[in-house]
Amino acid sequence: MTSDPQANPATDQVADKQQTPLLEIDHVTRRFERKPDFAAKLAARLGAPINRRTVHAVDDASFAIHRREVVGLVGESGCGKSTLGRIVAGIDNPTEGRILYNGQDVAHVSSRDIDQFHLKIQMIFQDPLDSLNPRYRIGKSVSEAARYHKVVPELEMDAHIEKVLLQCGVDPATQNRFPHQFSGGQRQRIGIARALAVRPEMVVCDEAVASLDVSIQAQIINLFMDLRDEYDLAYLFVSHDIGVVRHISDRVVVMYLGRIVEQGSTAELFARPNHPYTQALLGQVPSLKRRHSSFHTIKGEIPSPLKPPSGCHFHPRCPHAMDICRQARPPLKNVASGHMAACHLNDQS
Amino acid sequence: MTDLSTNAKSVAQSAELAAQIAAANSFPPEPPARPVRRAIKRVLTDPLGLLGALIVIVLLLAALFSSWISPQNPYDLAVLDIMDNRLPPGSESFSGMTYWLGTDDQGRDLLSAILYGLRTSIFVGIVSAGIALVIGSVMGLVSAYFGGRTDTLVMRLVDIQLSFPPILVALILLAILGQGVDKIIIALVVTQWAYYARTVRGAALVERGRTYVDAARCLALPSRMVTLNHILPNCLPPLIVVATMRVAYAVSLEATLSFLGIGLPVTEPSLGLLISNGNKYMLSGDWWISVFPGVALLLLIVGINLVGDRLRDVLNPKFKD
Amino acid sequence: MTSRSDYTLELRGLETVFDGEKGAVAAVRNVNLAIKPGEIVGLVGESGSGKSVTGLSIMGLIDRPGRISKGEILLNGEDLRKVSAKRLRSLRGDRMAMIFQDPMMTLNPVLRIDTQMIEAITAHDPKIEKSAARARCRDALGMVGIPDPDERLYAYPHQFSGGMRQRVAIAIAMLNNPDLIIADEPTTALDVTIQAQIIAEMQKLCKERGTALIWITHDLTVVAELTQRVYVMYAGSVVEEGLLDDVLDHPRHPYTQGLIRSIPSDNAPGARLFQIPGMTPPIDRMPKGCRFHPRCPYVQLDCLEDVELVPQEGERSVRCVHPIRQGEQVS
Repeated sequence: MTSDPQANPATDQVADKQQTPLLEIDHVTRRFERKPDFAAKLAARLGAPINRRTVHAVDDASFAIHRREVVGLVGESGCGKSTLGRIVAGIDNPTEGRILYNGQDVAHVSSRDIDQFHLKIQMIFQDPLDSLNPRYRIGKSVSEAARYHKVVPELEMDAHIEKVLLQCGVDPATQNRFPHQFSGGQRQRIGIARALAVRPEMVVCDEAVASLDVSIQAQIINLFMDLRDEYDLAYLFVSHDIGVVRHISDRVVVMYLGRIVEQGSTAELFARPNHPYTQALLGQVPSLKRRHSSFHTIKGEIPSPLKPPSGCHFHPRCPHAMDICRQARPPLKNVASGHMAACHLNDQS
Repeated sequence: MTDLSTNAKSVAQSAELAAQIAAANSFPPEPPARPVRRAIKRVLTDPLGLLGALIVIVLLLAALFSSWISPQNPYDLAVLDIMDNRLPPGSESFSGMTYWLGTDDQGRDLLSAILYGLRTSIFVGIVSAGIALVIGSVMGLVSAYFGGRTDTLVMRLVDIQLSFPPILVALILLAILGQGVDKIIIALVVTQWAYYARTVRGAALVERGRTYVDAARCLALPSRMVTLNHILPNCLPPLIVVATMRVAYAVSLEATLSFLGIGLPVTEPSLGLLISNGNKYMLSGDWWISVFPGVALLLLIVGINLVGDRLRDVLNPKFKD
Repeated sequence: MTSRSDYTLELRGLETVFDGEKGAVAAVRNVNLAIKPGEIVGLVGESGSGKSVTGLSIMGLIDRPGRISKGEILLNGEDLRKVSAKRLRSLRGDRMAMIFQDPMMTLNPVLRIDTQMIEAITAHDPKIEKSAARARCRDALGMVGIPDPDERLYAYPHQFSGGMRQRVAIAIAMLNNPDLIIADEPTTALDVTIQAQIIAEMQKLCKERGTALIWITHDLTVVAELTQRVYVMYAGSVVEEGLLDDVLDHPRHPYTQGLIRSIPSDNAPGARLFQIPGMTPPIDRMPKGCRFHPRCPYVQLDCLEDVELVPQEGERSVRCVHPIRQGEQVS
């Protein structure tokens, strides 16, 4: 089942883009705030300075995911990519902004229908063992939600679960076993089966292959691709692994310290990265072709999200930093068709 | 879990080759996992755990069948003969019955009194621990799941509860409520629920942060199912350990209260009351009246604690030190 | 030191076993490895391959129920299995050091960095003056790229970021200028930009000082960037060894080939990745003969016989009954 680029001609994609996206993230911000407790309030009354620690985990992020599309969300630790993934999956809520599913604002869905919306977007987690209830036999883990939400009639449930397990490469005869009796790769397959059992339209993969062995990673990536063909799934693929993201994604969104700095089609982005951070990050694609290389690394560390630098967050590490970078946040601008970047260097041209 | 033979099937070029390779790689299947059976087995394979379990089982059976195996009904004042009071162990009664462990100051057969007392003590201990467990677990779960103000309210209540010595709380309660099995159970529940609430809250907070709870929420399962089906069962190991220890504690607290004369009525002596009754005769040489109930109480508490200790090791290795 | 040797470290037939309910099972079987001063060698394998156990065995850090059951571990010609515990302790941290994936394995969270670093020096050189030791610590921190080393000496480990903490661990490992450093996945938990910085620093330091470095990792791409020679481990044994370019360009063991072919960025984007079916067998259920044969696309009946690591032309060896010929490849 080689995915054939010919099967998806450019004209189709243009037509696709004009439809309502499956999912739209519209100016989403997520702040984590440590609210002052009683003692802190009392201390403040007595004149102690209030230490309000606010983290902008996600700062005004917007992008869309279309049906059958794989969007890679990349960035380093603390860039907010996992938080954004959790918001999309409905586990966390945005402080500001909207999540539109099929054009409908999820926040305004009636409480009766909200479950159906949540089911349409499922999530695969980084740690397959921790994501399975250790006291559930895996058959129950996979079938519980499908049964509760009556995804298929009860009479067909066993057959449905068996089919999903088989598709994910799990022997249905092992349904009575507990998670600890499986290997890491098998557990991840079980997690995927659990998500698929409720018939989602979109799957958020949060570092879903990061904890797996190299040879198992390839198996799981292939499984993701097969399932997309089978079910027309869209993926939000959250990962720090540039190699995996380049392989699997149609489009890539790059985040740095809570902000989207660049997004565009995978081919375009890797061929012509615009933002200096993207250039540095994509320069680190792991490959066997780079040997005994002398490194051109970007300097410095990722700043603390508690005290992000002013203006463009990247300016302290940026080789092209100018005065304006320290003062103003660069807006996301189109640099080519479907390719946007947030960098003041683009203002000049 | 590796089924090497299926691997071979998918890679080998011919079926014949695959079959030969599979045959060479057949391992005996692993036995199915039975976590509960395994835990019980691991408790019983430890000498101390086994000893504790044996003591507890024997005492439980003795208490359960006390009305059948006792030579005498010690609560029936009609069969007591005051003339037989304070007879040493092995004495014979006027009617020809042997008092194997002697009699107390009312002329009660001590063996029968201990068996019945054991029944009362175990009943009070288990029932009060059970009720406290349910109340405490619900409070702890609610506290952990909802967090915020609810959490603050419940946990401050727990703090207040735990800052008073349990014996003092029980004394005050019993002074207000009066004597009786039901009253002492109420007093024990009030003094104990907080321990369970704290344990369950701590465990539930840890579990709530784990990914499988995120997964359950992502699957749009209602909070009730997430807490009861996912979080609670994973909090059980520390809860079971605390519960076993607390049963022992409840038994000894009840004995203390009865010893002080404010627990159970004198007509239905529990172990504590028996000890208390014999206490005043200790110096006059009638040691058996206190010592035998004391030994029974000691065995019960030590037995439960041995099982509890071993359970803790088996269920929660992190708890060890 | 009684005898000299061309190699900083030489392993001869190392076997490490773990005693369990069903008897001893070997986590590492018959591993031979040699590394010269200044050389950087990669030890590649997946979880369960025995690569970390090999590293810990060299350092003498295997605890019960594990034990080294066979073989020689020669550090500068001195067999570490025969020396006293005291001698081993003095060699460890002085002549050889280890860097772990989690730097907190070596850092004490309640002690300041300077306390820990000075202790690491005085443990092996009790006569050194405090100010001299402090100067060495400061230089070591500066060398691994920590800004303001003077100030940072007074910090506690939790005041550093993950990447900086790993640099501190590297600085401590380098303090006494050891002959051998074993790095067990030191960059796996770090971000890619930080990983690149640390790899670059390590490469530079080892070259300057002639330190031999064994880099244990699951990631062939890191090995490609960093090392000169590579040992590929599978299920407790070395299945292939050789010069980096030879092994990566013309793998002769089917497992090495499978690993190389399953790396996403060296496949066409979107194409189906080559995958090795199945998984590494658990330590107590190893298949007979070649341990890779149940997953091997080239398997034949004689793969059920035991197979040794056989030297090939050039500086390489392969443990395979039917080594891959150049250009041979299954789809």
